[in-house]
Amino acid sequence: MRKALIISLCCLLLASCVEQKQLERLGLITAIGYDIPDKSNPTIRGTVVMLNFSPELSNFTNVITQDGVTSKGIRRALNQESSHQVVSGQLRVAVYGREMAENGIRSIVDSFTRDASIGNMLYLVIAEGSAEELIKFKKGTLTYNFGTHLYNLIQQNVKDEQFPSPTLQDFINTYDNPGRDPILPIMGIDEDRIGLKEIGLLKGDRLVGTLSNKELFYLLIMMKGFGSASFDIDVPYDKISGQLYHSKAHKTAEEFRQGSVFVTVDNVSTKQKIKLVKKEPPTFKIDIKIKTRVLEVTDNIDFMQEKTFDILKEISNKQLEDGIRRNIAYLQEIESDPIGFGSIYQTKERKKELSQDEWVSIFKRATFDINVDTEFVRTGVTD
Amino acid sequence: MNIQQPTKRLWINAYMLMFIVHTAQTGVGIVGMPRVVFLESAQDAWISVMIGSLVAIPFAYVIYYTLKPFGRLDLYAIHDIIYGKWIGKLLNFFYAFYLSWVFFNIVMNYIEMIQAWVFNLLPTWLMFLLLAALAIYAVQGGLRVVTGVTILSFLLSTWLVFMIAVPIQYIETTQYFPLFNHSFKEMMMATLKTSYTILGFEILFFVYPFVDDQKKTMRYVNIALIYTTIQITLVTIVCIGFFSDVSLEKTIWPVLSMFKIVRLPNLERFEFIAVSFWMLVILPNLALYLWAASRGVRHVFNIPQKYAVWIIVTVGFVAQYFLDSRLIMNLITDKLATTGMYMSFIYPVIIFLLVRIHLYRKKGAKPNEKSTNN
Repeated sequence: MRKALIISLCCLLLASCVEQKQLERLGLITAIGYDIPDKSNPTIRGTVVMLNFSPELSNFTNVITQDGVTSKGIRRALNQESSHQVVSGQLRVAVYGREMAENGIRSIVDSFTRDASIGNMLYLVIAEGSAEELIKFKKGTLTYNFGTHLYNLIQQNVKDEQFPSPTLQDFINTYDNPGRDPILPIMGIDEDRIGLKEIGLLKGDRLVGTLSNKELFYLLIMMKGFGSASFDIDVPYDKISGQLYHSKAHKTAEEFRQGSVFVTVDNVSTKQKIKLVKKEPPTFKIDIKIKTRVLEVTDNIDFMQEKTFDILKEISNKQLEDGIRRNIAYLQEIESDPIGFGSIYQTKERKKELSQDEWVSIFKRATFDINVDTEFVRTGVTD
Repeated sequence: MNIQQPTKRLWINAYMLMFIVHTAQTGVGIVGMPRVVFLESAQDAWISVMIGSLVAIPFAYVIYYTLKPFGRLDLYAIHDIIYGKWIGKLLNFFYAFYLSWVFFNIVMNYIEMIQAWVFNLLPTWLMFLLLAALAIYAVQGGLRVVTGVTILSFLLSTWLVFMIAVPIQYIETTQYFPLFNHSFKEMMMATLKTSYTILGFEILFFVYPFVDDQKKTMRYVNIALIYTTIQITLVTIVCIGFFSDVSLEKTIWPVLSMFKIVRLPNLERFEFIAVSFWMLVILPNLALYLWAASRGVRHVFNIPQKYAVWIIVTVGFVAQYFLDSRLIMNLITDKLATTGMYMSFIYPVIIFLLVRIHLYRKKGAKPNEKSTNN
């Protein structure tokens, strides 16, 4: 009994041998930004948002900038000028300056994956200008936790399926896969708030092109796992004129001929199927089935007639197909493959490993057969 | 020759073999296994894993039929009978050494895991002592206590399997295709690499004499082996779909890295819990191997088992000072995997044949008749 007591006492005492981490003495990095200040030398500039807990004051944040050659070196330098021990266990967002993103971000991503203290659900984003500028941005005089703010902003949009999840996990997986490329959101400052500007398309770890939010829609409907988004169908008057209630006679015949009716639809569900039908030249068959409901119409369309739907369907299919075609042509041009045509190609390819370069050359000469099928399931609560 | 047979007081129920065999197989190996196998046969790795773990079943039968004629004698005693006193002693010593090595290797691998994931500055010796103390404590209570540890650990840690539901949502199905595009040789190499993970069923060599209703042995051993097969195949399948090629090749502990994306409310970093909980998964391994090894030391040197335990742990404690880099650990684990493969897949066949020859020569005087009397 006494022996057991002594042993357990020893264990208790030994428990403090492990490094202690007291919350009040830590500076928790919640966001970090990387920039290349000068192209001619290899230093990178890191800007961090550090959250401190203090027993007397309410929690406060600090923004510090430091230069270094590696991201861990930056952290070391930060530690030297901080009264708190700098730790990265709460890191939520990593921001890359645009210039840095164009030159490749792999080495810094490596530092994240190697470190077990950094979670894989961290978001990676690209700043429209420099990361420093974005992170140092303050709304009025209010100091708030920028890292958490940015994180919530992205998370909210990801949940709403506005753009694909840009977590570290997703990035590594697509980066390491020769047949797929990552996409990251580009954030920018809009007078007094921070928001999503466009979507950055990467080739490997380098930013090679951007898509506007509107064009992104065509990309998303090709990607698996995206169910909802709304889009506008641009219907020329002369096609739909037979389907309009003419009771509203305020439009002249002239107006009829020129303008369009816009129908905003919300897609309820999307089913994507991409298949490799021929290997040489590589031909992909893209079948997309979209179920939609009408959200808004800019003129009085008569939805009681079946013909209305036929017309809308035809126009919508054509518009989506064109959008997708345009989108793929752009991807081929910038040599980025976020949809993963490469991995689909590989499932049929018996050669052992397909390298990034090989895939790029195959991708450039690939042809695509696109079929979109829109189905209107509901027209809302009014006819 | 003094050969002790376990008295009825020490026996365990046959169904407990389910827990013993399964927990002896599941340990530190499974955390890194998908990567090791993937390096050999890429997206076909899961097939190799399934084959590799099912192969254990016929070999478990070989072990069973080796032990069966001797009733309540374990491998050490059988060695003495087959080879005679001196060669038997030598082989027993080697076997005890091998088992201690496994014990040591599990402790060291787990410590490395803790150091890489949670406490970077945790001294190795301290963790070694704490883990060894737990294992010694269990072994001093005898096989019944060790069995208790295995059941407890199984019940408390088996829920970890369900956490795999989270990474399943991130699976990329294109990564499984094309199926079967690896050569037979690559598949076989991958199957061999699985062996380190499925080792553990050879514990039957030492536990069998303690089983109460020995006729039911294989029924429960089969259940355990099939459960292990399902578990590790599932883990491999999920890993292949979850990681893209290159990242799986680079990840040392894919199973833990997969847990990195599990997020529970109020608990952001699930993998810390997983690493800590893994101690429960390896504890039965430690207890079982230390128990079996110490029985060997006891048998060879004729000393009580409680001293044998201390000898093994002391030697291990000294050894851990010399083996502390990732490279050396890798080398030792690799060597152990190879040795383990010989010990549990090839040696049982040899001893099985030798036992048959021995029994054939001594027709009439069957040794198990003697032993079932007590």
